[in-house]
Amino acid sequence: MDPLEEHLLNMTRRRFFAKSASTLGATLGTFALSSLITPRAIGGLTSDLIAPSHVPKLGPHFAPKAKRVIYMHMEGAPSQHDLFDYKPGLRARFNQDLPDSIRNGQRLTGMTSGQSRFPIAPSIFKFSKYANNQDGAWVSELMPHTGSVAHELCFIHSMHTEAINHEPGITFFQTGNQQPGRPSFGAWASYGLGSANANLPTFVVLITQATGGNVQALSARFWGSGFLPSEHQGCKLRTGANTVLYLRDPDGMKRDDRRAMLDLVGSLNETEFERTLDPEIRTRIAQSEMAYRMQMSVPDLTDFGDEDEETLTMYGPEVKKPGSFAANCLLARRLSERGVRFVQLYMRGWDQHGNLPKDMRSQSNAVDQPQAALIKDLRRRGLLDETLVIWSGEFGRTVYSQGELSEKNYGRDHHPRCFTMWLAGGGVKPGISYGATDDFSYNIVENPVDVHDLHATLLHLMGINHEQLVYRHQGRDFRLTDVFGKVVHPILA
Amino acid sequence: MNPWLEVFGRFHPLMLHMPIGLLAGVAAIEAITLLKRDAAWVPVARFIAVLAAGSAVLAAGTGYVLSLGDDYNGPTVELHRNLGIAVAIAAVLTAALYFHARSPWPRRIALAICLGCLLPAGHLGATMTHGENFLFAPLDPKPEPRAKTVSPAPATASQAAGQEIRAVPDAAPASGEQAAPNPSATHFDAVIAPILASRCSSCHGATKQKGELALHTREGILKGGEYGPVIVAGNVKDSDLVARMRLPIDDDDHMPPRAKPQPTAQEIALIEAWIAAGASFTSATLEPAAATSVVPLINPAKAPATDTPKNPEPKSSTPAAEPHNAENLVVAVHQPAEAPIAAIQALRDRFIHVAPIAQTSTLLLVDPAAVNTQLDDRQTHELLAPLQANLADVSLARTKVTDASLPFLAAMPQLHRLDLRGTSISSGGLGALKSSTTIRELVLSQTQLDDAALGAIMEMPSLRRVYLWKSGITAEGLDRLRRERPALIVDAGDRAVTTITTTEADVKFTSDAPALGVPAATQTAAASPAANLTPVNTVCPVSGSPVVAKYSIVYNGRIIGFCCPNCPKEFWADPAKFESKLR
Repeated sequence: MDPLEEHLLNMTRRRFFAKSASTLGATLGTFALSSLITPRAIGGLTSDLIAPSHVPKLGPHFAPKAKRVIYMHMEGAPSQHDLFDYKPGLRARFNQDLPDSIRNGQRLTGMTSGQSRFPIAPSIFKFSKYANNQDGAWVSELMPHTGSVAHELCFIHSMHTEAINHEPGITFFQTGNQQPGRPSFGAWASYGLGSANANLPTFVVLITQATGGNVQALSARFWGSGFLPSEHQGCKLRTGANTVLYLRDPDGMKRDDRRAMLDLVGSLNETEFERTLDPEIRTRIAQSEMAYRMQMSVPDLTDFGDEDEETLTMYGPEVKKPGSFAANCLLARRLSERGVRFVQLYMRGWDQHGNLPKDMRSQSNAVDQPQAALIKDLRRRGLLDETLVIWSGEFGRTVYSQGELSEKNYGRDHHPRCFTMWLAGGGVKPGISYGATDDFSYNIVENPVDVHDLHATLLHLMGINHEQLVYRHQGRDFRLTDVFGKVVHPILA
Repeated sequence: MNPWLEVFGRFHPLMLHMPIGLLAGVAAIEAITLLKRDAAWVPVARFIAVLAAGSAVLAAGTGYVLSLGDDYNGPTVELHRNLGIAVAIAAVLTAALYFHARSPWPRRIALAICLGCLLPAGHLGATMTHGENFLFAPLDPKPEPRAKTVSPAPATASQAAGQEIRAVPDAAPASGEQAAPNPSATHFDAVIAPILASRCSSCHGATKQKGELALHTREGILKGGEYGPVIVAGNVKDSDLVARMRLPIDDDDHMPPRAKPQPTAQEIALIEAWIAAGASFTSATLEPAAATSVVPLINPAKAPATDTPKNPEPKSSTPAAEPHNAENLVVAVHQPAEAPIAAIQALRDRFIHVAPIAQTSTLLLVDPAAVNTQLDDRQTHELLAPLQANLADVSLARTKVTDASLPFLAAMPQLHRLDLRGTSISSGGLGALKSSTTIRELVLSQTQLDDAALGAIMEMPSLRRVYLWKSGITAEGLDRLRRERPALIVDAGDRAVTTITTTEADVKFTSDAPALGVPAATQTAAASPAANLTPVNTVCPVSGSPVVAKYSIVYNGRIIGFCCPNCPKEFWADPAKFESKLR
């Protein structure tokens, strides 16, 4: 035999045994093909019949509270001071220096390390207290709609992270590690739980562009599958004619032609599979078949024609503009309704190093009404209890001003030591606040939650023991939470 | 005991095999000799018989030493020991008779006695090591009892728990503890004891008590082992019984040992829940207070009734205040048999999502709505009927099902969530759901109901949460429902928004607050150039000379001016003395 081919064959044999649970068991089971593959592989229920015992079984470890996730990532890191972490005492400290006892040697980014002083910049925005299931939640005037659903939200004021810059920060939030290369949260969810809709990807990514100001790069690897099989990577839905790239048939090609082409390629692939037993080939066949079905399911998904006027109005004036946060929130609801496990929304442009008052206003204006409408819409349709909604940036922002501080204008630098995020639905206690920061929102004084803890908690809500969701790669078992993470039980309903 | 003697005893499992093999060899030669009337092999048999006698004595000796230890007790051990000694004596006798008797018959009789003792001795030994009924278990058509097939109902519990539980009722009265009239009716006997019997008792049971621990009786469980008690009621963490099961399998302290059958995650969860609830041997069910973080499988039928239907007293209740985490409280052990694979495959062939609600569960979730909204009554019935016993969560949202499907759905014995959003069901048909005693969550949003549906909703005994947004039910109807069933969470989208309780006054910036951690004398510099730095005084409180603005300090939120850089030092030495001199 050709030595190269023999080597490849050895690889595939090893991979076959290592991966047969994930691929033969789950992938082909859930993406079982009508025309090409005999329905012998059934995922979930009988995966223990075909999976070697050392491979982790798929499906939730225990009955989940959250069947699905909608994760709204505010890229650039919105300021907690100007949205949710109310510090009225700072109003009387305008332009005072941040005491060293508070900063405590915290490292600075290159953007403010040259500053001679760190003048405190209180929030310019007026806060209101909204009734919730505790003694109320303070939300700034930037997000009145979000405040109005405070009884559904669980604010975590004590988030902290290790990263101080965007790329590592987002990578840490999305993959559990600051260095690139690990699978993203959505890919883990797809791998652990499998698909609930054979006509759509398990992990979908929706992106909204910034309203202006400072924009950071948004790498596709944030929704990559890392070392997990490639079908678990996020599928980005785009605006415009090609919602999913390469999905549409070229002009002049009929659906029957596509079918014939898929059948032929599929039979060739099948021959190759019989020769090499490489499960990735069947993954490939399954993905092509799904793409064929997505030609039908995606237009149905993105057509808002069946939404009533009241619902459209609720999401705000931008709902009919493809790619807007409003449209993406509505799309997220439609995806969840169709069983898509993990919908990842990105809102870009929250990096307010300068001109914060103006830019925060326009950014908040773009997300506030849609995100509150999403909560309300999920709730009344009976979906919120089983859909976990997550809202977070990758870190917080400093209490001191970056650049010039005036009564009307200021900026804030990156701050990993504390920031605010919120969760809703999916088995999270509604209407509470968890954790607290000091009077400067600079350090955590109560119940710190780190990114690994958050991941462990979110997986727990999805019925997964984060210590048991593993994938063997390069000789060791990898987890989303690596060797860290504690479930934050007090926020569980 | 001398540790070396103990080591000697532990050679028993090795030694015991030698006399078996050697005696079989002697018997084989003796059989040839008898049948072929050929004595040529007798010297060989004699030699083997000597070896057999020697090894039998060693085996019996090691076994005797082993039985002196604490790990082995009980009638089985005693019988095994006596038979083993008998084998050794008979083997020595057989060997001796090869040398001394003229007739072959005395040694043959001795050999027969020897083999007669060897067989039961060997069987009993194997029973101790591999467990009761190890040999014939494959012939038994009934699968090995597992916790997930155990039902809390007394009748089925006693069947499912099977023979392995029998030690418990036998032993309980002997201890003087009050035995329940029907032992199977307790949660412990129905659920916990079978798990212990199948996973633990082969080493910590009637025959062996490794580490002085016996888990086949109540008093044995309470007494614990050589390291003390194994359960601490209400405290899962300190209960070694489960704590060791939770250790990584590679941990030296992990139990059961790596090579033995391991309890399932659900079995461990059940034991944890039992301990968390107080580890009672007598109560019939778990206390609701036993909520553990492990989300158990749901058994709607056994949910505590927190609801009081048709309560005429109007009670105000907000949805959030309701104890809607009640489903956490009930540990279900009621699981149907596995669903037929063919029926699951039929759904998957149509790309319809169907999955167990958890890896350890046989309950199913099915969600046709995700891919196929064209499903009608006939197809629904066709596809779901074979899975009826297993379905716990069914979403038919936006499909074409009608009232005709409701009786079928209501009859599902495990159904706890039903989503009928956006279907064409009517108030008339909804009455069929009254017969379901399991549905806890019902989604009726976007339907064409009217207030006539309220009767059916109010009468559903197990219902805890209902969604009625755009269901056609009027505001008065909703009021009535909330009034008459206060514990029911009614979500109709009409309370989607919360209110503002406080709004702060207009934002004003000042620098009034005293700075933290900054030496007071330097605070002037920290103040904002934008802030008002005019001193409150015009005359230096120390010297009485006119104030020079640049020599100012902040004291008690006030700017105080001095005439020179030395005066503030004097001021700080005793501020109270100078405060009165501020002019």
